[in-house]
Amino acid sequence: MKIFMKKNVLKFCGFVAVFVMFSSVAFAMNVEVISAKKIFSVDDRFEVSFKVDAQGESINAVAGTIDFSSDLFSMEEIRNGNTIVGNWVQKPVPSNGVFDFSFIIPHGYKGVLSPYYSGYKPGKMFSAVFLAKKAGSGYIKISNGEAYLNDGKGTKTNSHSDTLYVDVSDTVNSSAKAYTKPKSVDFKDVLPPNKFVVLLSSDESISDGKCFLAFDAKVSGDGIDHYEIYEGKPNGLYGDNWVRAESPYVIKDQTLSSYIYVKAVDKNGNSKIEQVLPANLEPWYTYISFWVAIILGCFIPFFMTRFKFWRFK
Amino acid sequence: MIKKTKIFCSVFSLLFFCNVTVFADESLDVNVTAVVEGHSSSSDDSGGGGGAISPYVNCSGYAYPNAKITVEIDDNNAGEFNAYNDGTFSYKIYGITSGIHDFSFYAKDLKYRSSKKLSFLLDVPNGSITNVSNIFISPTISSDKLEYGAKDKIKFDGYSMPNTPVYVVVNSSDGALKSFSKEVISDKNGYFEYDPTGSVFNYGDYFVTARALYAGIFSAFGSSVDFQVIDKISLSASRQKCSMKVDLNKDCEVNLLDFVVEFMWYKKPLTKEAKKRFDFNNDGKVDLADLSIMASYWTK
Repeated sequence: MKIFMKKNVLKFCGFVAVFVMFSSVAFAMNVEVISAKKIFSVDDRFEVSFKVDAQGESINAVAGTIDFSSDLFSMEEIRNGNTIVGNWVQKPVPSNGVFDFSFIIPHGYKGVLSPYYSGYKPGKMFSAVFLAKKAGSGYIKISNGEAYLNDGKGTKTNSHSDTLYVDVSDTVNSSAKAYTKPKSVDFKDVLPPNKFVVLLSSDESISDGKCFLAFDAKVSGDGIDHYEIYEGKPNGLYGDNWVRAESPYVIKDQTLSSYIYVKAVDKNGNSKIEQVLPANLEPWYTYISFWVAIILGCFIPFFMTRFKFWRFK
Repeated sequence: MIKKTKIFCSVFSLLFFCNVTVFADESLDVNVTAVVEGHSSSSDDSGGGGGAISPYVNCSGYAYPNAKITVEIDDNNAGEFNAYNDGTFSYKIYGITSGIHDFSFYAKDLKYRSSKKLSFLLDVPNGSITNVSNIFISPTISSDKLEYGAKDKIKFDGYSMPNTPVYVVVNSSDGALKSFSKEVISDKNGYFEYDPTGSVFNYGDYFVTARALYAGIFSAFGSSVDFQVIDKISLSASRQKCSMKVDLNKDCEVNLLDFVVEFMWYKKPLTKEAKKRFDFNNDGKVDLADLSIMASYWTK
């Protein structure tokens, strides 16, 4: 009897020890997967937000894979406007079938402050628009999640993702259909991207030391669609000399004598242009406008006097 | 039994030591409230609320008397202004679009030393006046030399809120030596000095940082100053300005330019030279951990 009791006490102690050990393992990042509804019909589109809860830690780098029932859903669009992302390392791009993502948050991230609550709350890293292809029950979550502490050492911390379970029915649910229209259909965002940083530099790691531009714009709507660059004189700004570009962009005029304009275009077609002045301005006598002004300046008074003389005559 | 107690004590003291050496990086007690047009202060969780006015943010907090304060939004300069004579400041930031923005504040003291940046993400609602208070900029601090002999006199000084307790913490860089802190009081101009005479410094690398306490709120720890105790005084080139490894182009800023250069080597095979320059944690590869290290030292 005594031996039986002793064994039970030992088992209980072991259980308590294991429980205490595992309960103390806290996740420093939890990804919340949020959709306003969880029941949809075939052909419905619905938006799912992925929010990061740093659980009181300060984190500055996040990575993961968008994992979902690909037999039931297809991912149609990623919306990355108005998010906590500082700089993308790998943007999730639905078109190529790879849904990995990673980004950094300079200065660290504990959550988002707002006047509508006290303390920090989870902030959105991006949202994705899914299309329900066929009936069934499926899931959406983030797998292979990684988070790094803002401690200057690159310390990896534990991460966890909620799983969103979604049901798709064959029957057409009109209320769900109306709700799940993409946001851009409901109202048009007319706000241009915010003022953004464009920096010019050179480094031997990029095109053997050629001068390049680095840029990154923030936007409050559905996200940046693309960037365009124009190199040349300001009078060509309104032509079709713009080329699509990505950061870092190796500039064509390595003599740095051209004006450079970088245009950020968001997903609703709104744009914002930033200018980089030439480091080495061309000499004044190379400008045609200067010679036109000189010629006009000389000839207009001449013709005026002739005209006056002719009138009095 | 005695042996068991001894083991317990040693484990306990180890944990205690770890707690002392880990600094609370961002002790941010920023208060955020909003006045939405047509409403008073709201507690609606939806972040909604809208009016015709374009949103602006009313910032206030604590720095140093007459400090020059810079505010950046999403890495763009959004304003420069001076703190009042008593070290407090308030400033209105106009022209902000609604949505989530990265706000950063830093101050320059009367000796042109910059504080550590205080950053936070703020969701600015549309059509509202957002009030952000208790922005407490951490003290500046620097030493009069970079290297000292073991018997040399060391002096640290900096600026904080006036007549305020400032906690100066000296720590060894490798964590092997004992850390200690000292409370000093800033004068009416916010100036404080710390002379660790009587403290025993073994030869080695140290760093010193400070935080202040005002109106019941602690600031975050400020920028740290490295110094070295050696057997003779000589300034070391490696400890000069812009010596941070993550500042790849050595322009004294860690920013987008360093990020795109580091990104060129992300998950790619490294040459010997590239390993030396881009592998910050010396694990033989450039991955998200290295970018995380860079993000920790981001300046603009």
